[in-house]
Amino acid sequence: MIEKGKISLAQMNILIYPAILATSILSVPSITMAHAGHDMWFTPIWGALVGFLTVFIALGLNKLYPERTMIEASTAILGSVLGKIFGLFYMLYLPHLTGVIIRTYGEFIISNALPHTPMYAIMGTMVLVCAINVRSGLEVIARSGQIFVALFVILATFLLALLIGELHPAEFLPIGEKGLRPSIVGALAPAAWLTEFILIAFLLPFVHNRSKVVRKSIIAVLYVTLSMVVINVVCLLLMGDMTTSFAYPVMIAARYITIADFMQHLEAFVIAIWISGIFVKISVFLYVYSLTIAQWLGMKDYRPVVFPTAFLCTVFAYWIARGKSDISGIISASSNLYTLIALLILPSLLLAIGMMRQKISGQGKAAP
Amino acid sequence: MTKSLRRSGKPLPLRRHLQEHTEPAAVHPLSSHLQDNVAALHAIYAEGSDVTFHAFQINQKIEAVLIFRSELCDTALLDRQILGPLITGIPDNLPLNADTLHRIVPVSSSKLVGTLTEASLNISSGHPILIVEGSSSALTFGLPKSEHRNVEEPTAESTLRGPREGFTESLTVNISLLRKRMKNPNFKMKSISIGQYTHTTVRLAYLEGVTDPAIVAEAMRRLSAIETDGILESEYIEEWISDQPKSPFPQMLSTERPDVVCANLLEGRFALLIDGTPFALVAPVTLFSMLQSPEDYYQHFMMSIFIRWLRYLFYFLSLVLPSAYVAITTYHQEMIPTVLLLSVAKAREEIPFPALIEALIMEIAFEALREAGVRLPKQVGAAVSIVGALIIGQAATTAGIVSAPMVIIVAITGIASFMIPRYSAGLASRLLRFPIMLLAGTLGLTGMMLGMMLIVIHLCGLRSFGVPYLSPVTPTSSSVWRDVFWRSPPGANRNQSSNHRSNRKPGMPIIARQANKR
Repeated sequence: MIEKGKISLAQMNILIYPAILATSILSVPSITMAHAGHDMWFTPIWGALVGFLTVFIALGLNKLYPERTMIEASTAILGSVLGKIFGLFYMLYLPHLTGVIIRTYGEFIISNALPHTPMYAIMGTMVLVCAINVRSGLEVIARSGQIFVALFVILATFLLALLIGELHPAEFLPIGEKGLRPSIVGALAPAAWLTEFILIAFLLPFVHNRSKVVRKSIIAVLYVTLSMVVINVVCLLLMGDMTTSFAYPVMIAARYITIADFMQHLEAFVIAIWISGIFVKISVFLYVYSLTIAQWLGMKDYRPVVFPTAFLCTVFAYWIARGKSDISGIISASSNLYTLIALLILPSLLLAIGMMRQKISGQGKAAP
Repeated sequence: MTKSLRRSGKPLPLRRHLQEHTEPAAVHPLSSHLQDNVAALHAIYAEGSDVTFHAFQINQKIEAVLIFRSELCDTALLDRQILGPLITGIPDNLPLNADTLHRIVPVSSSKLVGTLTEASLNISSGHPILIVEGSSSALTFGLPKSEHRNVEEPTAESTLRGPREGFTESLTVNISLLRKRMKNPNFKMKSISIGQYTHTTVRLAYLEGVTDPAIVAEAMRRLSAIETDGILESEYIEEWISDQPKSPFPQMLSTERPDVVCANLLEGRFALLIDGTPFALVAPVTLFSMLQSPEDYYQHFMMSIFIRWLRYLFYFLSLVLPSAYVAITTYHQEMIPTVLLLSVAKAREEIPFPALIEALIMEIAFEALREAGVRLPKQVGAAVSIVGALIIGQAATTAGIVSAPMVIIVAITGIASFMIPRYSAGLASRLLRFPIMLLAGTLGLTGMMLGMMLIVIHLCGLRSFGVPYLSPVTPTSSSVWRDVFWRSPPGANRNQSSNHRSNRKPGMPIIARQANKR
């Protein structure tokens, strides 16, 4: 197998947690607010349904081919030509996705922390660190992920707790003013993020204790949803209608924190925490992309392609958008459909074909 | 593992010459003619070596030669126990060859050797050799002249409470210190001699049934792969057999306390005792075991937990405090509360350097002072601290070269690095402080985070004899967490460890379980 390291189920879920939340924490509150208004706080719950669906597709694919990632499974299901075309789509889609993440990081750091530093320096250093992480293997990614996610969760909880005094529960009202429709439309964004649970289809073959995978994955979706809800609730109760007008509502929330006139202006602190999350996210996607390339090309090791891949993704980060307005367009609702197609619809088609073929040819073919 | 093999240096030309010179002797067995053997040994110890060849007759009949180094063996004992009985007191009816003498000479540690190499090796190590006419084997005796330092309190690792014995340079003394504490017959030792020239004896100590046999085998394999001229200190060995010798983080623990070695043996680690140095090596270690002090277990557990957390905090501070100061004063001034910001700004107003340069100057000056203090004799060492405190501290601030807050930061960093109980564990944070400072000076807190990430990535990939360096935190095994973030009171701890021991199948010790659990 191309990756010799093995991770545990918990480690995989820990990796996926920031892989979804790190970027959603920035933009989901304002995007959902734009569509769902005051009902935005429960939009992630609708999104969770899509999350469950994604998890089941990923687990279904894994059940067909337990030792293969989605890219390897595609050639087995669709035959080599169609399978390679399927893989080629991901070869082109994944750098796009990774580029968006890297660009989000660059834009965020430039607008919030280092306004005079050139973009390439900011993105380049981060991608370099992530590439070193990816080259060290999945075990190292998982372990460093554990440390940084623990940091991320503990400190984020601490910061949110500091905000309790500033919340206005009256902002919940009115609930369901225009029926459920706005909240369902608004759920498109959280749903798009939750489709990133398809990562399971790439990482599960390297997990060594898979006995409780269904339960643990559902719990993981619930944790992510809960975190999204908490963040949305905090933004709503803190800023109310103003949430939409900020590009990064969570950063604004951080400005509210004042404890005893000493702990204030914790934005830089928030950025530092957030960086630990985005580091895991970029690493995971860079890893998945490098793995995809290596498997698509039939290489024995993915390590040689990590640095070229990292460079390509950085270039994509420039290509995808001209400026800050473009980038918010890319992560807004219209492009969520694009994400849904790549991460939900195509895999589900793959699964459907795979299951049909299995039915037709009877048993025996499933486990080559 | 392969790394250490690859590192085996090519022999120097001089050594190759010497090897060729002595190689034929290696295959030569001793001949039964006394003169041949003596001539061969004479050739080896031709000039410049102070080997005594003492020719005499056993029972005034048979020619024999006693060869020894007078400075390495106890000549009084030699005369009394060997020469005396041999010259006069052998019963006539016995055949006089090495075999019989082996049985009747009143020395408890005597051995027969059959080749020239063995014979010369014994002479060089200080064991007298007796060669008898007509015997093709020689007899060696263990009569070492024991000259060693007394057992003293270890200077580098002092504790307020706890045993005050420290290892010495003598291997036999060190082994006796360990055996005295560990009386179970399962306490085993393997011996190996390393170094083309020094032939340093290295003992690998482990507890059978507690230490993973695979780890012991791996350690022996790595030890026997060492090809070097000499071993003078444990660090030589550490660099040869570490998993990643290029890492700034030590992958073996060096200690001069027998109680620390015993505690580690009980936890399933092995120890290396090296002749000629008071420092023993312990492996496999993790980052957290490097940050533990023996005193954690010698004082009340609540205090230990408090101190342990304090130590983690200050270990972290010793790594990042100067960088955090640089990053915050350069890029994120808004984080500082207004009143403090004003006083910092006032202090920094007259300083001609940016914070990064200021921090670098101070940190380098501090490291220089520290190094000077270590190297100088104790009497002069005090002068260094006065110079340091007055010039670096006060004068530099009044002269407007560095700001007072910077001095405070450097002082706290210094204290933080002194809090690390193991000297070698503190080296990494001392070294890595500088690159992180540079990152913080160029990219602010973001840069600092990037630096931390690189360190964490490195630590996550690091292993010490197959055991992940950050275990049990990651990869996680929560049952052992109690000894990382906590130190349970002895009763609870004992229950836990005895559970471990009774549940353990042979060959499945604590450490190995951590290692296998990913």
